[in-house]
Amino acid sequence: MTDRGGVLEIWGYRELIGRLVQRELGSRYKRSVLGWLWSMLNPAATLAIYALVFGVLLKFDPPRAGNGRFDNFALYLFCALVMWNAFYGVITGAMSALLDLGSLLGKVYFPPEAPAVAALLTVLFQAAIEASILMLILICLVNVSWTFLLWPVLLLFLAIFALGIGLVLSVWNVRYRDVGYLSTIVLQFLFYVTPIVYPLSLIPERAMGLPVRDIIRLNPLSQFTEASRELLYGLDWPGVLRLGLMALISLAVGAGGWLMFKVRTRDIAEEL
Amino acid sequence: MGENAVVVEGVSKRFRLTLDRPLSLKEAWTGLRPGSGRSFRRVRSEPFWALRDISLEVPRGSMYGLVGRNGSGKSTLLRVMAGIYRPTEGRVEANGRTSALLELGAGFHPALSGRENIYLNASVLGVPKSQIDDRVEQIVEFAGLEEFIDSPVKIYSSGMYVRLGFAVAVHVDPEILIVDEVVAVGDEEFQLRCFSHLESLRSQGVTIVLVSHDLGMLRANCDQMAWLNRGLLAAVGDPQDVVNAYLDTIDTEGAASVGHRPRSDTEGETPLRITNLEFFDGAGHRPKSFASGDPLVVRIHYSASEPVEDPVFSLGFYDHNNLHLAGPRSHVDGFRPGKVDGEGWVEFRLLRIPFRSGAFHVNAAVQDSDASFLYDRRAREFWLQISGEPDPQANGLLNLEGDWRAGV
Repeated sequence: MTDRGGVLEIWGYRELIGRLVQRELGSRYKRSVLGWLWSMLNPAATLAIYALVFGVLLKFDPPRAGNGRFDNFALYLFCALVMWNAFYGVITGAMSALLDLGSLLGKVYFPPEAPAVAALLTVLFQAAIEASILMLILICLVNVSWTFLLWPVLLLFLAIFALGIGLVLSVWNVRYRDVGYLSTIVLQFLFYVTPIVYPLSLIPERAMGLPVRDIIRLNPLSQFTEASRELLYGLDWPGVLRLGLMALISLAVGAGGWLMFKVRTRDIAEEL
Repeated sequence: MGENAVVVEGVSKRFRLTLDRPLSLKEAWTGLRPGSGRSFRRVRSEPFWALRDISLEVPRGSMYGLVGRNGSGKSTLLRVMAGIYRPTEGRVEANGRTSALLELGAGFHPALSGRENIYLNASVLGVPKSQIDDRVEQIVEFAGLEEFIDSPVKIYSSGMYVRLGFAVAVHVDPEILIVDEVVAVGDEEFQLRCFSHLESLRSQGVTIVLVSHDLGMLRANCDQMAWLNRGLLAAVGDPQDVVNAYLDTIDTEGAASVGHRPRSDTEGETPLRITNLEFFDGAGHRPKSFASGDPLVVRIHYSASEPVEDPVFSLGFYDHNNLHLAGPRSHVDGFRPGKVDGEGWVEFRLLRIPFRSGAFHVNAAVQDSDASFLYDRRAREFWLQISGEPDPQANGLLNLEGDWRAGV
């Protein structure tokens, strides 16, 4: 066997990964009348609900858009929500993919990260659809700049970051199913301590004697959602320092998670 | 690339028995699990060694058989060879693309259709889609699943599962093919097709590692064999020797309970020895294999170092699983050879061979005139090959020559 366990090996199994992605996408909206429309209706509905609750009822105020001609809470929200959806999708996808395909690992050999990589690609596909719609709307509103081109890079960083976490959680979840339940709760909490449905400026500097705004700002996920808003809505760029920092964090988390996964999955065929 | 397709070097495999595995975070955190009553005991894992220090080499292009009882570690060894399990100690080297058929439905996903699973399996084995496109029809035809190939495999019967699994495993151009005893699930006709296909793969240079309980088949087809006993390598090498050694333990363990004397007891001084056993057909020839229903003559050659009065000759017919099928004895049949001295032979004649196709081993023994003392016994050295396509309508080991009548 050539290079068992290396990155090259995953490339060698691209056929399998491609098939898994195809299967996931193909089976997703089977037996539904609207079919593929759901992949747009779903995020649209979520967006509408949040926009209604937080923008209309609670009257959260979005900043002005980059072209200075309008402000729109739904679009401001959407920029961050795309990032969150990708993050959430990769983590939950990696966990369920390993459980789902794990039984095969006891019968044939393939790299155990293949299901997670397939889940990642599926999520990126979905994110690309969502982002395209968002960008299209923004272009129609003449809110467009070269910063759009940086956005895919940001998504890539986020994907690596999420994959690192997803890999670790997925392998723990095989052993302790509690991880799956627990992570749902943690993710829910994370959703609200990340500036997605609200602008960061809405958070008080200090609460309960803690510098809450800084704490939320330091949450790596906040960096991604804020940067996404800056790039698409604010037409501003986060600067080399912040982008570099995000790259560093995502690579560290991605590599760390992958290494931990490697060690943990050496005997995974026996556990599934 | 060396001469060997698979090299297993000093491989041991330890499992932690999962019984005590902590199943929730709380248990993992505290390391405690409620025991009986009020006490708590530490969660600990009992090590279980499924394989211990196994070393063997599978030459390229050979057919390699593995025997052993249930739980002896055969399947674990196959999984280690296929790279699914990591050996706890030692090293495994597989030189070539390995395709493994380890369980019902090699690696099928129940919700997917048979066709989708063919692609999934092929991609798991690293076969490009274009190559499989050309093979799909062949695979479907081999498995005989034309009508069901687009239904999800969860509705398949176990026979259909195995047929599809086997068909995929052999059609993806493996260089090394590892097959567990799953093939036995298929019907007789499919098994025959499997083995003839394995045979043709081997002639194309594919290395085949095979687990089976069908000792006759292994003995007849394998180039080398290994016998695993409780995770240890008990014998390795020539199929005939390995099968004999394996059957011997079954025999001794089985015989010990019945009170028979094992074969080794007769090694030593004895006035009367069986020197050979020969099988003749009706025309006095010695064919390599016989057809069911043909006449058979079994000639027992003896050598007496002193005159022996009226010894009792007996034969034992066994199938490849060591099932005792028949045991004709000369004195029971009313035959008395008189005084024997020096070299000579006695014959047992059968008008029609009742056994259906397969490999049977024939034991021979000679005792004193009242059958109380065993002079000599030769076991599992002589194999009787009955060939010919088994009539798919018939089943069982024997042809009973009865006829049917009706009445009211």
